[in-house]
Amino acid sequence: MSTLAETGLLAGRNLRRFVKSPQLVADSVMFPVILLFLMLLVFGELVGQASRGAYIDRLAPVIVLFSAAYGAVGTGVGFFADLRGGIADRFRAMDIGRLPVLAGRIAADLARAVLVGAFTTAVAYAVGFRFSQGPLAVLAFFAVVAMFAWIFLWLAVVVALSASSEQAVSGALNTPVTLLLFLSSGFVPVEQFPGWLQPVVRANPLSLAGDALVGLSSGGAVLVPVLFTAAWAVAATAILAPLAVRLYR
Amino acid sequence: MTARTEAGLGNLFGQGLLLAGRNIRLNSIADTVSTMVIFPIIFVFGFLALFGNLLSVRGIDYAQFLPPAIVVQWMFSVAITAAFFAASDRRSGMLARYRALAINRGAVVVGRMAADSVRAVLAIAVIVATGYVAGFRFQAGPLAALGFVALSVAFALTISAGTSALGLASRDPESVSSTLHVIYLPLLMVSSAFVPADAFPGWIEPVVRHQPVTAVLDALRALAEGGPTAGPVVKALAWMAGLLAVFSAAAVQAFRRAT
Repeated sequence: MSTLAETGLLAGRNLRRFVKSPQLVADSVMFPVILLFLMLLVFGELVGQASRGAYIDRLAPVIVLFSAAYGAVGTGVGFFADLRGGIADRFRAMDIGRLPVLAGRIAADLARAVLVGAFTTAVAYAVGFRFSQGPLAVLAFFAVVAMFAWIFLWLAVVVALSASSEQAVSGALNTPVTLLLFLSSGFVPVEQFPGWLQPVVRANPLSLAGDALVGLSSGGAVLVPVLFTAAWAVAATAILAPLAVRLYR
Repeated sequence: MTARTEAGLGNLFGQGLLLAGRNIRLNSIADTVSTMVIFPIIFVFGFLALFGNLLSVRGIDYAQFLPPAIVVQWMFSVAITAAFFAASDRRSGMLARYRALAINRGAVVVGRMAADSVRAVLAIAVIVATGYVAGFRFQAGPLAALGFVALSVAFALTISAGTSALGLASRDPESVSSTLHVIYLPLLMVSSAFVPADAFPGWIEPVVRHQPVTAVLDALRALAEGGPTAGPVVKALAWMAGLLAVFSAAAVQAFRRAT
């Protein structure tokens, strides 16, 4: 079988495992929706007065991105369980390549991130979020979501391959994901941060992808943030993908 | 016939401490330094960076306002971990083993509470120390500061009773903790934890003002900042007494039924 077909098969396995676990589906769908409503409730008035445009235009994309990054924690834990549970050894004994095992995991979780994102934006429509830039922009919106998720999925795979316990996997991934969320322009405009932090906030992939998504949904700059997000994705691939393949051997 | 090792206060506390030691050792494997030390620090500075400027426009010193909220958040986290371990003790058969031992039944509860208190105090120490770096101060003297710690720990133990009831009723630690996360997040966020009640949309303000988490936060802030403390503290204690009555009844029920 070709690498592509093997990847597809393994991705199918991972997606089916996800869909058949009501717990996992509920967790990954409920969490962003709850967070969306809570943030809107708690900070909507406060931030709405301090920024241009409606808070939901900014908030919905950020929640989509955050749940993609947060979903990568689940990827790491799931992949770690595969590695320790024996299925990875079974794959080694079979006549399939090394790469499809990794790629299958990542492809399935990319699909998951996009599905959860689609669901979250659909719910956000109820509270005023709109795609106003045409159908192509909608497609580009989810392409950016996938690109962003891609960065964290490779990170999650590398962490899972080098960790010693499940707790270590989630600990090592939760910390950067939470930091990234706080230090992003997602929840409050970048001008609200202390001056010395602003460069960090601007360079944060979550801020950049967030800007791109805002541009693609409610309007604004698109090209520059998309290029920067792509640069992050390329850099992550160049560093993390070879590392993951090496660790897997 | 009851064995000599089962009755009496000496057994209750002696065995309770022994079990607390076991629980703490288990915890220190499961939650790494990151959840106990790094995360509170990230949350204090993260929220400060995010909302410090926005709230100073409203005349709120966020460095003083925020640490009690992070403390309450971590008390919830202590309680959720308690539920996780209650469920895993039930699943692994450890609970059944405790029942078969000639030990005081209450010692299992004392052991759990003592371990939770240690975790709670540790979290409070880390958060308050981080808060001090950011500008938080206990302005009402050492006695009020002690009251702050005591009230926080009491709050952690109160909700632990409730979460443990849920943990004992289930056998699945992962699903218990994810269910509890979904419950605790709205309770914490729709309170005066991160922004004052008047920053909420008008229709939900009454809910924010009159829910138990806000009552506890008001009391903690009064203890930290000084000013009139008796009113808020009594209100918080009343809420906690009520919750404790319900939760401990539920926990005792669940403990009896759990096999």
